[in-house]
Amino acid sequence: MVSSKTGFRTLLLLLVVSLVAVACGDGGDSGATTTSSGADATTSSVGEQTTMAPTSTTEAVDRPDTIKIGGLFTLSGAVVAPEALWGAEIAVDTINSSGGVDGIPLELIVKDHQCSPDKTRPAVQAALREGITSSLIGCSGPGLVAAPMAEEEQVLFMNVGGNALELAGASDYFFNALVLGDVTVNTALDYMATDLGAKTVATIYANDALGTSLSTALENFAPDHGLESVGSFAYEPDTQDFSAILSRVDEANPDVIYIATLGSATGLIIKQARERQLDADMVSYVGVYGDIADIAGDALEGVAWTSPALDLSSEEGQAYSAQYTSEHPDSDPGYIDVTAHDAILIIADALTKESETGGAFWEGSRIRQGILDTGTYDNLVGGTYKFNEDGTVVRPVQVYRWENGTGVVVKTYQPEDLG
Amino acid sequence: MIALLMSGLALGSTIVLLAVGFSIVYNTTRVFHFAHGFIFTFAGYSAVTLNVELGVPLLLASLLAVVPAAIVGMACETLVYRPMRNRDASALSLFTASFGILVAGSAIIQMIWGPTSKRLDLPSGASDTVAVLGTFVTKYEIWTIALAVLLLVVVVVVLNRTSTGLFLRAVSSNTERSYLIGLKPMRVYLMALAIGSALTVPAAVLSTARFGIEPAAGFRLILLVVVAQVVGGLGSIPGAILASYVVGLTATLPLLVIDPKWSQAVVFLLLFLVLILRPHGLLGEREARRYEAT
Repeated sequence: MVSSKTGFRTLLLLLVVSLVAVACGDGGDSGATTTSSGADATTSSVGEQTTMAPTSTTEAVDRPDTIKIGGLFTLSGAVVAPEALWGAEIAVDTINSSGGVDGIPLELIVKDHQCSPDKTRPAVQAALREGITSSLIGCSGPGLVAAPMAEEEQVLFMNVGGNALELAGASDYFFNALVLGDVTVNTALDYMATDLGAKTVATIYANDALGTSLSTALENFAPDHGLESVGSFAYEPDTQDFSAILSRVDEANPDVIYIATLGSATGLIIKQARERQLDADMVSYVGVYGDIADIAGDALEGVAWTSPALDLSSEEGQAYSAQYTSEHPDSDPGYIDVTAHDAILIIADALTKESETGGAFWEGSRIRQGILDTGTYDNLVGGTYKFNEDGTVVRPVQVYRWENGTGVVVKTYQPEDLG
Repeated sequence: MIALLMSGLALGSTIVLLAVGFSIVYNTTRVFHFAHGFIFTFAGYSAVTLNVELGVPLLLASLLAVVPAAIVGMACETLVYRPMRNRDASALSLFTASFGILVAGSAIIQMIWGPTSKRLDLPSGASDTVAVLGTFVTKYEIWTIALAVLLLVVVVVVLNRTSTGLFLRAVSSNTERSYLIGLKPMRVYLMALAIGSALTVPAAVLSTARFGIEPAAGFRLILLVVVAQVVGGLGSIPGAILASYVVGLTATLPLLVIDPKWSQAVVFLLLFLVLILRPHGLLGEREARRYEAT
C-alpha cells in the first residue's frame, strides 16, 4: 500500500513539475519571438517588432517538421463539397513530391465546418491548436466567421468557396481566390440580358450570408443590364420542398429564374421547377458538382451557370486533370477543386519566396507578405489570379450550359469585360 | 393558391404519417419520442439500401423496410427507455435520452451511408405532374395525400377494432390497471414502438422518392411533428391528425402574402398562439376529460 501511494504521489509530483516547466518554457519563448499576452500594453511598433522578429535572417529559428495548412471545408451537412479537399490534396502531393518548401513538407490539417457559421469557430480553433499558419476555407458564412480570427491569430486564410460580397476586405489576413458575388451576379445578368434576351428575373436564394448577398446584388445590378427583378424568394437553408416558393415564382412569371444557392438545394429547385412546368430559363450561381446532376436529372438540360474560369487545356491543366480523374474517377475537375488546388500553389509560392530571406517564413504574416509582394499569379489551372489590396481577386469568369449530360462553356468573360 | 393548398396538404400528410406513430408511442410509454425522427431517416436509408444496392423492387423494398424500422424502434425501448425507466428516470431524462438518440443516430447514419443524399431507383414517370384546377401537382403529392388517408383509416381500425389496439389503449389509459387485467405493459411498450416505427416507413419512402434522403432529414421533420403534437394536444390522436394538416397548411398558405423565409416562423407563431389560448392543445383537453370519464 505504502509503495503504491508513494508511486502515485511521485507521479503526481512529476506531473506538476512538468506542467510548471512547460508553462515557464512557453513564457520564455513568447517573450523572445512572438507578441506575448502582455504585448497589448506596449506600443504598436513594439508589437510589430516582436511579430516581425522571426523574419530576421540572423535569428536562429526552429524549423518545423511540416508546414501545416488548414483545410476547412464542408464535408458533411446540407452542403457537401469534398472536391475542395481533393484539389488541395493534389497540390500538396505535387509540392511534397518535389521536396516541399525549402525542404519542409506541407501538411494539410482538415476540419469539417459543414458550411455552418456555428461550427466554424470550433473547427478553426482546432486547426489552430494543431499549428496551422495558413488555411483554405470554403463557404461564405464560415469565411466571415474565420476572417477576424485570421487577423487575431495572424494566420493567412484563403477563401476557396465563398462568394458573399462581405468577404471583400473582411480582414488583412483574408484573401479570396474566388471572385465574389458582385462579379458573379453581373456576369449572370449580362448573360441573361444579351444571350437569353430576358427582360425579367426572379431570384430564389438561401436565407444565409451568401444567398442574401447575391440576392441584394442582383436587385441592385439588374437595372444596369436592362432587367427588372420581379421577385426575390428566400428559403431556410434546410428546405427540401420548394413547391410553395415555386408557386410564387410562377405567379411572378419571370423570363429567367436565378438560383442563388448551394449544394443539393440547387438540384431540388431545378427538378421541382420543371416538375411544375415552369418553363422560364434557369441560371444558377453555382456549377454542377456533387450530386446536383443526379438530383436534377433530365431537368438540368439547358440550365446555365457562371463559374470562375478553368483552363484544362493548358499544360498545367492537363496534368492536373489527369491526376484528378485518376484519383477520383467518378468526378470531373471543376472550379471548386481547381481553386483549392491553385490556392495551395499560391501559398506555397509565397512560402518559397519568403524562405529565401530566412527566418520563420512559414508564419502567417510572412505568407501574407509573400502574396502581397507577388500580386499576380500566372499559369495556374484556373488561369491568372490577380489579388487586389482588399483581398479580392480578379479572374476570368465563364458561363456554362448543361447540354446532353455535360457542362459546355458557352461564353467567357475576361476581367476587362466585367468592368 | 391551389398549388400552395396541395403543397400544404402534402406536407400535412407527411407530418400526420409521423405524428400518429409518435402519438401511439407517447400515449403508451409516456416518452416524448424525439428519436422518431431518427427512425424516419433510418427507414429511408433502409429502403434505399434494399432498392438500389440490393435491387429489390421499390414496392417490396418499402414493405421490407418496415422490419429494420420496427427493430430500431424496439431497440430504443429495450436498450434506452426501459433501463432508464427501471432506474426511475424522470420524464425529462427520457426526453433528453430520446433527443440524444436523434442526434447520435444522425451521426451513425452518416458514418454508415456517408454525408451525401441518397435516392431511390424510381420507375419512369414517377415525378410526372397532373393538372389540377389550373395548376400542376406532382404525383408524389397525390400519393402522399392518398396514402396518409388510407393509413389513417387503417390505424383507426387497428386501434378500435383489434386486440392490439385494445392493449395499446388499455396501457395508455391506465398502466397500473392494465396489470390487473393480465397485460404486461413492457410488452405493450415494445408493440407501440414497433407499430409507431413501422408507420414512419410510408412517409420515409415517399419523402426519399421526392427529395432524396440525407442524415439530417428526420431532424427537420420531427420539429414539425412535435409542433403538431403540442398544437393538437399531447396524447390526442385526433388532435395530432387535425394539427398535422393545420401545421402543413400554416407552413404554406401564408406564403401567398409573406416571404417564404418566414414559413417556419409562422408555424412556431401558431404554436405560441395555441399554447396561450388553449394550453392543452386543440383537442387535448377534450381527450383528457374523455380519459377521466372512462
